[in-house]
Amino acid sequence: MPLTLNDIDLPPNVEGKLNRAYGTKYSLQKFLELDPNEIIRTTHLLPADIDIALQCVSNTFYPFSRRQMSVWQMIENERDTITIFSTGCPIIDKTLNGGIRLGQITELYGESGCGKTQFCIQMSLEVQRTFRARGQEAKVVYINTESQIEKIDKRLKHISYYRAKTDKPFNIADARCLQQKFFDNIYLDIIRHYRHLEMTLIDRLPLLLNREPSIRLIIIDSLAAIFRSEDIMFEHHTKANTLQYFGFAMHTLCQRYNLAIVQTQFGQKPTDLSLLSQPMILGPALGLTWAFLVHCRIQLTKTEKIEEHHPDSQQSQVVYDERQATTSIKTNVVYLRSLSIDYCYHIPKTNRCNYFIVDKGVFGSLS
Amino acid sequence: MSLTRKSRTAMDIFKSNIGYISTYSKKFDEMLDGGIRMGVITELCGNPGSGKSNLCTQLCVSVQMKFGVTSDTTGTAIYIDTEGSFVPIRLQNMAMDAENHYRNENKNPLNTISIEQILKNVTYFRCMNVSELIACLHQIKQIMTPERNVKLIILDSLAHPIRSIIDGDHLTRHKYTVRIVTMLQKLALDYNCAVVVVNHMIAKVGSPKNEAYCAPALGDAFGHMSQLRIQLSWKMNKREVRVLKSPHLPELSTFFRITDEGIRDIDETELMDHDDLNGASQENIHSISNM
Repeated sequence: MPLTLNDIDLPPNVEGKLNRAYGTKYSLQKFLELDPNEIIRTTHLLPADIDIALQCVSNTFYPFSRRQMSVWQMIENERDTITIFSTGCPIIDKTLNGGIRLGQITELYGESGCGKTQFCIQMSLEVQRTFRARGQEAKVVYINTESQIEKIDKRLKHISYYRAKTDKPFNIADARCLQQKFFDNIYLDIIRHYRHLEMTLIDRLPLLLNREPSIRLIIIDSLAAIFRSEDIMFEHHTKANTLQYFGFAMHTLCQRYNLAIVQTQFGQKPTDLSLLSQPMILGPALGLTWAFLVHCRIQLTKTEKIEEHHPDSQQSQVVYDERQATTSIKTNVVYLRSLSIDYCYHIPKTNRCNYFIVDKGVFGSLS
Repeated sequence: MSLTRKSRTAMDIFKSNIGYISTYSKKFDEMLDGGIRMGVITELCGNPGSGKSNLCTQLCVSVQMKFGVTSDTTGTAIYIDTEGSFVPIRLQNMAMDAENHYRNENKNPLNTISIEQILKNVTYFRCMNVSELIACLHQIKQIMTPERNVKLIILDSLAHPIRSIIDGDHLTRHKYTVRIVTMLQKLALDYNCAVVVVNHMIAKVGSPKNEAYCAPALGDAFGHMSQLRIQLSWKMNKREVRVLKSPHLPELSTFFRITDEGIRDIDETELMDHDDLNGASQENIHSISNM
């Protein structure tokens, strides 16, 4: 329940005048947003009284005793709680200095086919395992904007089966049980219009989060697709405003419920022709406004590299070496992609690794 | 009742000791003629990933070290975070390196400050919107006691809560900006502490050639209220800092780098690293170069 003027104690004359001007049910947040000069004009209070009133209101609205913390205390608190969850592969975790952090918005962007959705599916399982290892439970909300639910379903089944196997189940029934538990903890939704996403972020998700406090991860795959539909026409500044609104809603969710938000985005070619002389560098589609709202931005790119003799792959590739004019067949090939950190406060920009996608999931490669 | 204030001449001000907070990069400090000044508002702007929050964290460490602040005093710091990007381990890493360096330089064990003390001296506040920020600033006077000796207040960032005001036009945002910055100015003057405000960039289109360029956000109103405006950016895979607006400093720019230990000078013999062609550097998010 939001705090109102009723909840604070002020000297009686000050309180009387404020109540007459604004009513006792006036919210403290709105009171703080008012211009002090305007308050003086409406209530005819002295500036010193206004000062006392503002101090009292600030003290109740944002109590220093609860909100103030030294960084030493923060580190002590972090020792006992889980603040980072693993992505499923130790090499990728090392690149991310531990994994994906709770309370922050992480963005994965890259061209189509890089493995963003694969990564998201894997993360939705891994967050459950990270928390389960400490005896807690973690649930996931997966918001999909492209209608490929069968693909997600099938992929989830595959990866969760392998994950369930590594948890050393007793028999097949137990493995199926574990697999089902993974599924039960994922709330899946398909949203295709930005108004539905707005409704979800503002109304539906807080309701769900109040009912299920163990939700630790929200995946939005992908945000850019919502802004790409042909049937909405955005002027450029309305788009920026909407993005800001969404971003702010996400920040509030992250902080209040202590969860991580992972969202994916397309990389698109820059519109400036002068940049074509450089090697093809893709920029994310949503622009500068969104770039400021994201805490950690991870870039996924395809590379030409392959790694041979990987036991999980059945593919082979014929390679023609031009210099030596020989053809060779490389067996058990996986196609390497690159993961690098675009920017993040606590991760150096030089952190980068290669990864590949196989049946079991997304894994990093040391090559 | 005497209403006159004691008048000061320019010579008084010239002779008074103005403290600076070092940024731990020599070139950066040289460009700023000492470092971040006490008693005034410094604005840091830059695209995402340019190093603003890292610089702020570095200042939190250097304000407490004896060789970080000139005029031989040290102080504590207040970090007001509105974006949520602050991770305490980063401050701990910077503090560990600074403490190591200080211990090696100064062999007297009595003067060293422990890492625990460094971390305890930084107070952290998280404000989610403008009202919480205003409420926080109203109460900060209570913790500016002489024992606490706060010498640095960081607001990271001001642009985020202001831009998140949904039901308001430019006038409303302007009023909030002015109100918050006035409170900060008063704090800076009364307690002689340095105030650093972080700002965002917005993309603008310039008229002659229809080019897109980046300019600091929050408009001209805020542009007038800070004493020093510094822009951080990426130029050719190196981090660059440039003075955009200052009453007495020339508009120079210099390079620096950010390591695990914090802000440091760039190695002059380092050639451009060709392996580090990372996609989507600042120049590519919004095509053409910064102003």
